[in-house]
Amino acid sequence: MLDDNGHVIGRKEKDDVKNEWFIGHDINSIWSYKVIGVWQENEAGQAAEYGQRPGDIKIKDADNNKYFDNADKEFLGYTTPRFRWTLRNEFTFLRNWSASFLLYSYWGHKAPFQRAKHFEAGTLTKTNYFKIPYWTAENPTNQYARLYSDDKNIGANFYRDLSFIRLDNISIGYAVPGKLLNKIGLMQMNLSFSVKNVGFWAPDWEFYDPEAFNPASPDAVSSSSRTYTFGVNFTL
Amino acid sequence: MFHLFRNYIPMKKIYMILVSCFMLSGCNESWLTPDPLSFYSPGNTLIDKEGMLSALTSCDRLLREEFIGQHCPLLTAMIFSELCVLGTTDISGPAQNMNEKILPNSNNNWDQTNRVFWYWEYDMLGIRYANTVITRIDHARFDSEEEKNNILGMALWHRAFRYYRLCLSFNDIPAVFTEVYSPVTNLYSVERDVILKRLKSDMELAAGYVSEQNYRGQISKGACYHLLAKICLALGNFDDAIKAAEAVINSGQYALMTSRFGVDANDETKNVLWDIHRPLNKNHPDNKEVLLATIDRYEYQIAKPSSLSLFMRNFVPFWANTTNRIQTPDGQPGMSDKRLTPPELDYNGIYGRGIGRCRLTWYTSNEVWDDPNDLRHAPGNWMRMEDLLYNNPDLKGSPYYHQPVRLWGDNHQLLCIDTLRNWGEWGHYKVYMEDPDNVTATQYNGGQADMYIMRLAETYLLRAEAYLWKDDPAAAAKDINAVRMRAGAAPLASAEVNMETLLDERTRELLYEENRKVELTRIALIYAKTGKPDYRGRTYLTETISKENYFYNRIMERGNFYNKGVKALNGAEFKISPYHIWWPIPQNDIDGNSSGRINQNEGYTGFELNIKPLSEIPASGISTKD
Repeated sequence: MLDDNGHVIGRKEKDDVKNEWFIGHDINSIWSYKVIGVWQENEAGQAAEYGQRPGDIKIKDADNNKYFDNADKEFLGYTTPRFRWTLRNEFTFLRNWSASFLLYSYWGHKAPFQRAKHFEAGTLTKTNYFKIPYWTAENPTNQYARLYSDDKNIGANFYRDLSFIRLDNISIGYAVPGKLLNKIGLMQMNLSFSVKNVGFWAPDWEFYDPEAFNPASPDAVSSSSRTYTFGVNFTL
Repeated sequence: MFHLFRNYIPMKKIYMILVSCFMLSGCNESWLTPDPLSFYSPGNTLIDKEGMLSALTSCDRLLREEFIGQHCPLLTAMIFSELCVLGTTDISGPAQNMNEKILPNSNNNWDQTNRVFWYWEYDMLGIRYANTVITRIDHARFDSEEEKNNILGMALWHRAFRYYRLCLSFNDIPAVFTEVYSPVTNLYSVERDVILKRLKSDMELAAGYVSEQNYRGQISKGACYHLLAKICLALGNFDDAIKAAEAVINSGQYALMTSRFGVDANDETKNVLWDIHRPLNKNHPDNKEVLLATIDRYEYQIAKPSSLSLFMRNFVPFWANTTNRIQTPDGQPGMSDKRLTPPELDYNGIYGRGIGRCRLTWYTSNEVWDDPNDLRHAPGNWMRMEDLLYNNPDLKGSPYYHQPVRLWGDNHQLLCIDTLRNWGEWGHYKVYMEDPDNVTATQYNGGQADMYIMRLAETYLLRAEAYLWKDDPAAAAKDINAVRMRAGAAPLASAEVNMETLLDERTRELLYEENRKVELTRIALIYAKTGKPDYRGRTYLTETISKENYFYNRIMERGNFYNKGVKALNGAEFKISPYHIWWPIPQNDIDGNSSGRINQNEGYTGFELNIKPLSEIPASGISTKD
């Protein structure tokens, strides 16, 4: 590193731009183009300077040179959660009943929401497609592009927050009382019911399960299954 | 059980054993050095003829990838020319407006966009394989000096073939002429002609080394001289180019095919041009014309599954499209891609289910054909849309069923809205490739097939070109006419022959075979180097080649898409610029080369950071600066 007079004042390892690893930044940082909205009807002229049309994503051109290159990229957040927490509790009530739950959360990470660009909207005349809002002149949103939009094919994306809280498990247990057991000749009997993967709350993510999101194929449908279990446990 | 166990081995002893495990054991460092008993490392494999040939097989295999798959790289090379444009109209990605789509940082190796960076990535890979053989050639044991030289010569061919293509696609590029053992991040670009000169001397060596007796699919002596002729042309050494071409033409090993041969030889409805382009005839023992063709057969699937060529899918118009479909004059869907049985017309199986990625220009499908007797454009070989009949079985009873397809209705209404994707012409004799696995499949796309890399007809045209540069149209006409007359076309008089007719002949003979971008760039480069006027009297300079060149002028003057604001249904306008004579260097690799400088080409972002390229390849064989 040099000061204003050209004297060496320190040393710094080179950034690894190709792998997007930068000295002083988390290795999981997102370093990419910033999408600042969608070109609107009244911006058609400006959009044309970038070879785009109203409805296409509007990418920040920091140095205003009409090209999108490394100089326009910014640190946009992180691909991994900034913190995680888990809460589990179990209650016993009415003597024979018990209940438990498990909540956990990953918070503060982001992912590209490619479907919002509608780049490859399928063949709408003959196939089904995801019901995701899209830009039209009547619906001048800044969150979604038009169908078959032109994203310049340089990897610019709407980044969305993947943060979520998941209610992972709820269980209810019932221990059959002794009086009843005597009648049917059992020593002990427990009934239980549990649901795994009850649901999640992800305020900013709208494309399937945020936890099942796969960065290697961000376009893929990534759902997770829910399991219901009913259990009977008895001792003769 | 556990009780018994505890009785026999006291717990104290177990603790002792555990402790001693940690305290007493250990090893010296040499024990940690991996010493695999069996391992495919170059040091173990490239020690004899068999090992070296297996490395060369990797090079051979990469050659065929250019012709294979969804939007094969060859198609990208074709759209940077007057031959064709991309016909895909249902997405925004395809390289139709080159000014907008061909960027150093865009995704340029994808079927939905283009394959510009395929050439960069896979040619570098082939160079790496070839360098491994060349660098280790002296460390392997061979039965004879001839055997060693043959293998070295083939490896030199593979390296030169790819560097030639890279130089004429990407201009000044880094040079790596040796095996690399560790990451290199301090490369510098080298002047294009410095690399080409190196290739020339390499190929002069290789042409002497490579045996006349190599198997089909391996590099032949003819392929070496053929490549040498191209390199000499690019360097402006026309006499050497003629000499190299003559070494092929006069070798006695090769001849233009003029009579029927091979798998369909007894089919009287066909002709010799059909035979030449049958996939199984390209490496046929009777085929005297082939200098080098890849080998890719249905039976070899186990070695590399799912490498269907998809040639019909890429190159046949999307006649079966239901979006903006082809209609009968009374508005009914005219075409069906259902697998039909005679007397119904199973066009899916007969011509293949194209999706119209390749849309030939008017020049390629009509203007260039100057002789009605030319077999290369004859019915049966060449297909016009009107040669198809309305085959939709739902039309039975309609007067249009099995009548020729029409573009215009009785009241001059257009019967097919998307004439870019769903309407066009194609060279059936070249793109039809059987696919035994999919005989009844819903999509008959084109199966594995041998592909020509070099054949004698092009050697004639290379020599003709060299004669033209030497202002000898009489000699050039003789060579061009050799190719023409074989196809049944009338010979040209020497007064008619110039660079335009030469390029036209290349179109007629080598469509779907040649990398048109590279060939056109070579000719544009020679115009700039020699200062010779083109057919309109314009001259060019190497210093301003990115602003003014023959490549761009030819595309604008012959094609009918890039030059007049044609728009595809996806909204993209067809556009190209003079600077596209050079493709962009991938930004990703410029970034990764953090301690050196790989130059960018003019017209692309990052060009302003260029420094002077190296004017020689360092003795180390790698273009670094130390």
